[in-house]
Amino acid sequence: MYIAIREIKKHPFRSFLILCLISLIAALVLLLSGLSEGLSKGMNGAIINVRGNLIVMDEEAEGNISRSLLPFEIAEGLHYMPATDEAAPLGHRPTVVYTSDHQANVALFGYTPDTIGAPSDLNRGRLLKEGDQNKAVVDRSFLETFDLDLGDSFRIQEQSSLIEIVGVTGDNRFSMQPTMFMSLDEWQSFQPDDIKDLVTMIVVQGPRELTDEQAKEGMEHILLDGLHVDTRMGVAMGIPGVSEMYLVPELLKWMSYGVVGVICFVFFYIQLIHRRSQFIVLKALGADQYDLFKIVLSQILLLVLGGMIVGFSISYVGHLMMPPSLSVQMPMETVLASGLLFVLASFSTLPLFLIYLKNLPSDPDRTL
Amino acid sequence: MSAITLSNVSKEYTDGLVNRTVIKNLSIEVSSNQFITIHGPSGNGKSTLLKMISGLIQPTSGTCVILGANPYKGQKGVKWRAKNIGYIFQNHYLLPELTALENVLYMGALAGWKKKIILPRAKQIFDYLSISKQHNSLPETLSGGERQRVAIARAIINDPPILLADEPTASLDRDRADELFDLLLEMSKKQGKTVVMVTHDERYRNKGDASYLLSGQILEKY
Repeated sequence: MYIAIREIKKHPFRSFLILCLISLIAALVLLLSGLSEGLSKGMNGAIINVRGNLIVMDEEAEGNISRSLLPFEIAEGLHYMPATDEAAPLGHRPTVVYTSDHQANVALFGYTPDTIGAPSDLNRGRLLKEGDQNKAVVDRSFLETFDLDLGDSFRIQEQSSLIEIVGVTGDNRFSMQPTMFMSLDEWQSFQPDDIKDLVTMIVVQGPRELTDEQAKEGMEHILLDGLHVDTRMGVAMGIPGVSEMYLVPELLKWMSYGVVGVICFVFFYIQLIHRRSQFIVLKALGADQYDLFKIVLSQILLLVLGGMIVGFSISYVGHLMMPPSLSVQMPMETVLASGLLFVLASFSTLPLFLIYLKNLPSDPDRTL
Repeated sequence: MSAITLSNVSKEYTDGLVNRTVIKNLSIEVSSNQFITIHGPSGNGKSTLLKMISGLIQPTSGTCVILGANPYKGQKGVKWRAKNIGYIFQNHYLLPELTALENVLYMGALAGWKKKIILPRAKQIFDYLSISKQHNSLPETLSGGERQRVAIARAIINDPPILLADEPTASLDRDRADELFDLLLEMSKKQGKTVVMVTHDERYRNKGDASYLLSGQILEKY
């Protein structure tokens, strides 16, 4: 580590340039990760955050939640089946929310209080209770869009009464729209008369000892004709537009990791060539390939970690200042996962350096 | 007891399509604590001989036994060299980004010594070699003689039983060269080291325990 620090100090400009480049790529990688996370959650956050692991829909809807309609009673029937632990109906409809300053489209979900239809990521306030009227739980983006807070009220196009915000969840957007949750009874009252006793989907919790896929397979065998079951993630990723919005930044993100690996290899290979004479001397003095590798590794570690910390800090601070409409989200797990992948990508070519160092001659007089 | 035993050692180099024999069927035995000098014109294989003794290069044929061991043991041989052989190169080859003291300490670290153990020893050696004031200087700021002394300090920091010196006086003026020679001689006598010094300077012939002439691939005792 000591020699690496000295080398960096001896060539401050060169080290600074490498650090800048690594920082920029690190910033880009985290930004793309955040964008991918944000776009994905913006499309399907409400589905990802339901409490069950399976979702039953109308087979003819072909995975499109907006087209699915099921009789309410199916939920009750599923609830008592051995292949399920719990089942709860969930309704979805688009609506328009009005405040004194704003109006915007919102995804309205209706669930029965105290069931697995409730959102799982309540951050503030409370979930809905049995008998709640004109109360709503909204997601974070709802507050940002309408500039409201817990306890504030708003109107929706379906009714004239004010609705009070009693709870706030994390990002539960659906089709890039803010989300609000009301009781299923109220939601049903907004539906047209001919479909009042229908819901959009049934959220099911399969046996907890099974994986999601196993639970799905178990349920497929007992499900009535005309019904379709998928895992929560399967439904979330099948929402029209999710794949397109999610895969583009994902692809760019993985390409960036590849670029990180290649750039680190090129930079450090050039460094290695520059320091070839030094390594030959060290080898002649009694340094083995692993001693030399430690020097290379510590220099890469310093520059990559330094660049990553700077780059990630820039991206993180930048995303805090971005408007919510940009859909960039950086939860800590995304930052940590991106950091780990960034380090792995940077170090992916290091074994090649070990081969180079092993084959380095150890007679300085004949090689220098 | 014999510290260095070379039996029928030959070394060939390939220059393009031509094989060049530098040393042919050379045998020599150097006892522990002996100081020997090897003389001869440039390009006659003196440095090659030292490098074979140190394990830096392998002979084309013949056997080398150094301190009872084979010095060519791959990675194990490299670590063995750091502990048992102190090598003073003609071009000191100090690491330019490290200070004089750090160059010496790094050699100690290669042999596995902790800094707190090796640092007092390094300071003693710097005192002994009269370069204490230069311990914090970078090699580029040192004179030729000072650099060579730092190279000696680096070679002896791990207290190796064998010291190999390749033309250590070549770049020094006469007085500095004599001082350095006396220093190596003293280390052999007082610290019991086996020293093999290669030089083309005839003034040092027979000043140690023995002197040899390496010329035309043949090693002869003066």
